[in-house]
Amino acid sequence: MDVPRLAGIAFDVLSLSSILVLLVLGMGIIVSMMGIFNLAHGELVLLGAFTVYLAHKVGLGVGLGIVLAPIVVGAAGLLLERSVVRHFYSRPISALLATWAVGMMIRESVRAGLHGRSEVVVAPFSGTFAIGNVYLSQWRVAIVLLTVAVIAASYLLLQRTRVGLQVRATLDNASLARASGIATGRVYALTFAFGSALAGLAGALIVPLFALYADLGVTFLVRSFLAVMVGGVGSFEGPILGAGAVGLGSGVLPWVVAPVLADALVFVIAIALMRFMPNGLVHRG
Amino acid sequence: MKQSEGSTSHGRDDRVLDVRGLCTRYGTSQVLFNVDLHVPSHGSVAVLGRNGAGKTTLLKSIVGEVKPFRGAVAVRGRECTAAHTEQLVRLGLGYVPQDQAVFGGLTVAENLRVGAMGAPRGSGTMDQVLAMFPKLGRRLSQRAATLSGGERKMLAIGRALLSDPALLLLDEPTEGVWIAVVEEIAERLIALAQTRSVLLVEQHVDLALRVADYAYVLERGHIVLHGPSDEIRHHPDLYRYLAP
Ligand SMILES: Nc1ncnc2c1ncn2[C@@H]1O[C@H](COP(=O)(O)OP(=O)(O)OP(=O)(O)O)[C@@H](O)[C@H]1O
Ligand SMILES: [Mg+2]
Repeated sequence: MDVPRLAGIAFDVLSLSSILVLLVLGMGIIVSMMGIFNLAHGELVLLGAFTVYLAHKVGLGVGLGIVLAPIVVGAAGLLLERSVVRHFYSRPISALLATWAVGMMIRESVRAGLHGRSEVVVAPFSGTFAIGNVYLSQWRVAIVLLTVAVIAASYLLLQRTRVGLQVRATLDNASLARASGIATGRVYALTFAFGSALAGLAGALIVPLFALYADLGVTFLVRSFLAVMVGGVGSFEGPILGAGAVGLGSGVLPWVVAPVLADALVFVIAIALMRFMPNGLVHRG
Repeated sequence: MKQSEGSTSHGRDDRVLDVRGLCTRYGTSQVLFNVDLHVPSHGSVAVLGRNGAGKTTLLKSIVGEVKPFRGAVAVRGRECTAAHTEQLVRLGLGYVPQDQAVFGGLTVAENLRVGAMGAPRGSGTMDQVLAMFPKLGRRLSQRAATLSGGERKMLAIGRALLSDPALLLLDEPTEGVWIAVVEEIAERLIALAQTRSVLLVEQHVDLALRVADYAYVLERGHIVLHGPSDEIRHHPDLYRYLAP
């Protein structure tokens, strides 16, 4: 393979991993704080994508749709947490079922809304950059830059603000946080909404690359689930590394082995990693 | 830190904490039986009892970390049996749990800042806490998990003090602490008890009775003895209740 081609693939992997990071950050913080896996996380991605599609349809434009998506999905996440999820924090298995059911309802509603078809949403800008003889898609560059900006902002929010300190304290020791006057129920709701907003943003960014179809979220759910398991929970770096690893695996493997095999192989490697590093790549004791 | 204000002079309002007929169970096994306990606005109270007597459960029931199935808890005259822990902190309770009393992943400074978040009256300051426990001042940017046992207990007390509580609940603040440091903590607690009410659970009976002017003895979830510390200290049955 020649260098430009390789660089192109590397960049595709990078942009896919960026999207995964957005998902995994949200999913990871919910797992480590509330101890539950949100199986509707993929459908929150779908909802973000659908928001962009709707915005485009009613004439607001794709750009505005992408701005609206995290807000709409964050609000939906808040509603979901307050009405359903919060009742399941002490029962992680029931939480799986409940969020799976909610996810299915969202998915099937979108399927009905789309009349079972898939829809194309074009990126707000298309075209390519040339760096030497390497051509990069502008939209993919935008995805990577936006993701980096969002990660940096989240990190600062977590490390430098009062709310961030409340979140970290709750993450560290929820009952001590309550004993320090922090309303952990509200922190949970906020965290869930924030994770949802990130998923919504991911959906909005990804829809121009793929297309809008009802099962869009499912593939991402599986990969982010793996990434969370691989990266480990409870740290900021873990999910990012996990997303990088899974993004790399699912980006590179299809070029090396048959695509059908690649998906299975990603799983096998992830499971092997979990077997030998049960606490993930990054672990805080 | 200054004396807490605002308690009126009559009846039950004189009590910063009023526990009546408290019954708590875990699943089907009952741990507390009709516990009555009071802490006056200007006084300190010790709870003694052997391992498993229910001391920690009593404190957890008071702060709402565990829900009692019968009985009532009032803080500064306000009924708050069903209140959330964080609301009680706003009412003026400070709580130092027996286990995991610091945020291990946060730095010492961050632990203290979290403590200050629950301060509605906000007169407790970091400087006062650091003056009380100078050791902490040298470790501000260190993660709490890396502190020694004694330093961790000091940090836990400091964190709780930053909300300037009218009543400080301490669950074994000297457990697992080296003997010389126990004495250091004891001195601070005696000083603390001059400025606010303290409810102290403590294995070191002498220390507890030096800090508190009134004591309760808990045995298998029942209050079997209570009275002024001076009386309890010489009570003929005390060591029968505390013997292992
Ligand atoms: N979460 C729980 N679930 C079930 N039983 C519990 C739980 N916590 C405590 N217990 C039981 O309740 C009883 C009282 O426990 P508690 O921790 O209140 O005692 P303690 O007086 O604080 O003991 P120690 O001096 O060892 O700290 C014990 O028999 C204990 O086994
Ligand atoms: Mg105890």
